[in-house]
Amino acid sequence: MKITIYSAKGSAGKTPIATNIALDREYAIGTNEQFHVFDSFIPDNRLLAVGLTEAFPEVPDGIDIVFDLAGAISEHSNSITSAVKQSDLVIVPIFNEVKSLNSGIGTIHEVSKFTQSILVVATKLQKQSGERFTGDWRKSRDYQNVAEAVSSSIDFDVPVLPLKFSKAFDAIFEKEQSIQQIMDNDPLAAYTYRDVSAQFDEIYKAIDGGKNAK
Amino acid sequence: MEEKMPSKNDLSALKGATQKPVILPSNDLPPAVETKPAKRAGQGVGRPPKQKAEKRSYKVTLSLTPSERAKLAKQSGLAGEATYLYAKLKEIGVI
Repeated sequence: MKITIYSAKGSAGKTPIATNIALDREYAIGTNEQFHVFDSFIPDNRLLAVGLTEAFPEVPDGIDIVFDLAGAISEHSNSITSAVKQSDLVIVPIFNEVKSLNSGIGTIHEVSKFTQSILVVATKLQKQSGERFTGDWRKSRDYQNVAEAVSSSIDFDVPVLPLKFSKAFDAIFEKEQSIQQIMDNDPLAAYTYRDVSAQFDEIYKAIDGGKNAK
Repeated sequence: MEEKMPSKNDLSALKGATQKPVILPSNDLPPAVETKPAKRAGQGVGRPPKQKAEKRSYKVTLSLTPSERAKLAKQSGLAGEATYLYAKLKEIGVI
């Protein structure tokens, strides 16, 4: 399984999602970020780092890898196009903010030139004033705005999954463990991160469902 | 990072296919030598120390009757008894 996590907008949640997947499922990681954080907790033989203009080598189908990509798609961004072309699924994180919505929709249009196997993750979901729901973050205005923007701008089916704002994403890098691994070792974390963990389970189901999508 | 996990998803065979990130050569100029102004004698950080003066640290105890004390207090007024006596002793050249 090859997965690309990509959005032209920074700070959308690409690296936390990619890292959680890599740690949970022992995937290799490919990155085009010059100053990435993977050196300290991803073994050398599972880390592939290239420059923005360098193409990733064709990764054999037997290898599971998640590409964490930064930068905008252009004729020079060979790292992005080479990763997207060989991926079974492209995850585009978008959060409910004007620049992120614009950039996210633009990213989907660009990626769709190579593949339509795209999953949007609505990230950084927070309850706004007056919101009283529990559990189902699809009821949040943040999620609904992202889902509405995607459905009204994209003319093919792109599922949108919720992923709430959580301190768990900081903990991934502090503890160098996936959210599930942190929860397994700490009962308090197991309670605190239960929503975000359930949302990741849903993302994993979508990933597993997309295995044969290519 | 050292390898600590089994060879699942091992990318070692692909490593040669990618170029190492180019690290730009540093400028060949010799390293800049940091120069500090010479420190002058007695010049330290902060306010210079006060000149050492003779301190009035020796105490004398004087025993008076209540009436003597009342008389002294009346003459010293707001200045205070010890201050008044010190000034008087200076005045007559005792100290």
